[in-house]
Parts: sequence; C-alpha cells; structure tokens
Amino acid sequence: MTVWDFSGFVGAWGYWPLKERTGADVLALMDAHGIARAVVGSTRALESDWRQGNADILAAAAESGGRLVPFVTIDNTQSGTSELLAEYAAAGAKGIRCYPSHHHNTLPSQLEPLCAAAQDHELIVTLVMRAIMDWSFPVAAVEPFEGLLAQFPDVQFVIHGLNYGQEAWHGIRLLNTYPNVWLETSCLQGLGGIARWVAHADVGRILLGTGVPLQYPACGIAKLEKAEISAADKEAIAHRNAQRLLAYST
Amino acid sequence: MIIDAHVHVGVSTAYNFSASIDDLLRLADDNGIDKLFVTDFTALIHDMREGNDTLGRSIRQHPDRILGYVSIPTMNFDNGALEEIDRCVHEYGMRGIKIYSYPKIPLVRPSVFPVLERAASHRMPILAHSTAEECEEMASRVPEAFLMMAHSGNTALARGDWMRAVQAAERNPSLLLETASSAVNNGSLEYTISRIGPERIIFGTDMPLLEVSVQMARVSGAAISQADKDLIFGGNMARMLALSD
Repeated sequence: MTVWDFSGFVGAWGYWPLKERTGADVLALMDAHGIARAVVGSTRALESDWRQGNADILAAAAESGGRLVPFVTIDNTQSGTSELLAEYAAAGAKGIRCYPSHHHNTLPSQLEPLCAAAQDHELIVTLVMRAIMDWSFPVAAVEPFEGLLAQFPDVQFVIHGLNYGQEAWHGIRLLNTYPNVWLETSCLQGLGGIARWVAHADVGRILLGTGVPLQYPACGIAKLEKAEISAADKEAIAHRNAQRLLAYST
Repeated sequence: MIIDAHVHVGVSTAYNFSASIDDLLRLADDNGIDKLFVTDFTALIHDMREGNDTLGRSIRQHPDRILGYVSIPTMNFDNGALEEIDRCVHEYGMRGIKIYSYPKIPLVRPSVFPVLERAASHRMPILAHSTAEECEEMASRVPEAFLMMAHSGNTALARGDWMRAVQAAERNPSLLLETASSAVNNGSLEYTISRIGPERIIFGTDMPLLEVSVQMARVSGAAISQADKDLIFGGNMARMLALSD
C-alpha cells in the first residue's frame, strides 16, 4: 500500500525529547514506516516564528525530492496576506495550515482574508482543530468555522485533528454537507473510527494522517490497515485521495 | 503472551459503547491478544456489586482468557470496598482492582489507603484512573501495593502530562505506568524506558473505546528492543501475577 501522510511536521520540538528535527530526519522515519510522501508544516510556525518556520519548511521540501509537500502558516493579523501567499505559492507551497486555538483566531471572521487569498492562489486550507492528539494541547471546535466552508466553496478545506465521539460525527456531517471538505485521520483514535467515516460519508475525501514525526507513524498506518473497509477504500485513503487533492493546488 | 491490562465490558451511554465479553474476545483474537484484564462498566459507575458479579460469571466462562478487576468507585471506598474485594477474590478469583472516580472527584482520600493495603495483601495490581500527583501520594503511602497509573498521564484529568507521570514513577519504585491512550506521542515510550526501564510499563488498549490496532502499534512500532516489547506486552504483567504460558 502506497502511503501519503497529510499531517506531517518538520522542525525542532520543545515539548518532549524527539530526535527527528530536520527534513532528513523526517524522511528517514518515513522510510522506516513506508511513507512515500508527507504534507508538512513547520513546528516553528505552530507557536513561535511563522516567517522563519515557513522558510524552514520550504527549504526542507526543496531538498526532499518532492517527498515533503510544504504547507505554510501565516499570522493573518498582518496586512498583505494575499501578496505573501502569492510569494509562498511561487516558492512551492501547496497549502496553508491554520491553527485557530494556537493563534487565537477562533473567530471565523479572522480567517476570511486568508481564505479569500487562498482562493485567489488555489491553495488548500487546513483548519487544525488539534495539531496532534495530546491532552495538554489546545483544541478548537470546528462548528464556528462552518460558515467559511460555505462562504468559500472553491477553496478545498482539510479538517485536521478530529478525534472520537461527537467530533467524529461532526466530521461526517461536514463531509456530507460540503463538497469542498476533506477529513484527515491522525487524531481519530476511537475503535473503528475510519470504518465509521467510510460507512457514513464519502470515502473519496478522507486522507490518511499519522502526524509524523510528532506521533508514532505506525499507529496511524495500523488503524488504516486494520480498518474493516475494502482494499480499494484503503488505497483511496492511503494516497489516492491526497494525490487528487494536491493536484488541485497549483 | 500479550495481556491487555485495560479493558472495559458492558454498556456505556456516556461513552457510546456497548461490548460483551464475546465482542472483546473477537477484538482480542483479531489483534493477537491472549488475555484481557477487564473491568465492568456497570460496577464502575452504577452498581458495584451487580457489575462485579456480571464480570465474575464471564471469568468462570473464560478462565483462560479473562482476568478480572474488582471495580471500586470512589464513593464505595469506605462503603463495603474491602468486603467486595475479598468476596470477588474468593467467589470469582479476580486478580486486580480498578479504582475510578465518576464524577471526577479525587481518588486520594483517607479511605483509599485501606483499599490499597487490601490489594497488597492479596498481591493484586491496582489500575488507577488518576493523576501523577495522586499516584505519587498513593504509591508513597502504600509502597507494597502494585499501583498502575492508567493511561500514564495521557488523559484530560491528568492534563496530558505523561512526563510528570514518568517522574512520579522514577521517584516511586512500586508505581507502574499503563500505556492506553489516544495520545501516541512519538518517542514517549523510548523516553519512559530510558528513565524507569521496561519492567514497569504495562500494555493496555482501553478497548472498546480506543482503536486496538493503534494501541498495539504504539508498542510494536516504537524504537525499542524486542525484549522490551515482550515485557511491556505481557511479560511484566505475567510476572506480577505469576502467570505461566
């Protein structure tokens, strides 16, 4: 099974000892677990210096032979969002990661300019509800952002970090309501979570995420391998859907 | 031998699950797990004696696969807990004790210590859904008990502070850490082994709440030796319970 990971990271990590810091480190871990490509954001951009983080992630991607697909992060309280995104797109960025709970952008209106610019530059927008499944990390509720999904129908939105219970069911509802919404699996840890999504929603918009290297990549892959769904559906989630989505971006 | 130290049976409308012993055994078989150490959900949050009796009957049906925890909710610590422990040991051969608070009130109170002491006298491990701070206090007050910190700090209750759990285990040699959690932080198992060794880490899945394959992969996919994986997956629990293959 070819595996593409839609929820990777590159960079130093200050929250617990982690040996993978560089793009090369992440590629080595991907190799150890059979991950062919990963969409990556910068750990530096998560809470520290987003400009330097974007420079880091673009450089790591440029050295990866196409295996690391860079998504950038922007402090959208700054002016010139559209111009910045144009620069990043020209430098190879395929999308944006928004961290509402980390960046205090929990009002959807705060993200409107960013979504408009993403639409102009055909960039994917990832709304990160939780960066990784860690009980010490902040979590954003997805419901307030629903208006953006309808307001920008030409933007492809990836909802990142939903876990079990009502979050998982809410993801199903969004997938069934908005044709421009995709869900990734890195934090979906309830028993039979992937099979439930497949049973109730469009499998063509579910993306494998492992959270490499912040989460054990084996965990994200195992839950897809063991999911009670067809081999074709596993292939779609493992990489074909990501392939199709990334083709959207210029 | 793989032993899952953290399994729930029963029906929970609170957590949207329903699992019979047969359901759990099917999950175990699908994932190569030999024995399930089970707590009954009814006993934890509704009726202690009814739930423990239900589990006891399952143990009699599957003595080679099911190990039982006597489930003791906080409100029962000084309300028949010691008698319930003795009863479940003698009637059903239960091997461990699960202590749990619902609603979320502290486990540590004067009445918890006799429960720990009774567990120690029966050589029963205690699975405590608790925080590192509480586990430190319990382990230091009753060091002869085998206290297992459920989820190793990876819960909302314990603020996800698994490194604090490791520190607690470093300071208290009788404290063990159980692995089940939806958090799967890369490097956490390697770090834990570097600080306390592999002998006090206990494998659990929290089935049927969590995806079993994820919990298995947390151990099997970690960058640790096969010998360490074997201890975590079942060797440590087998040693504690004096089980043989």
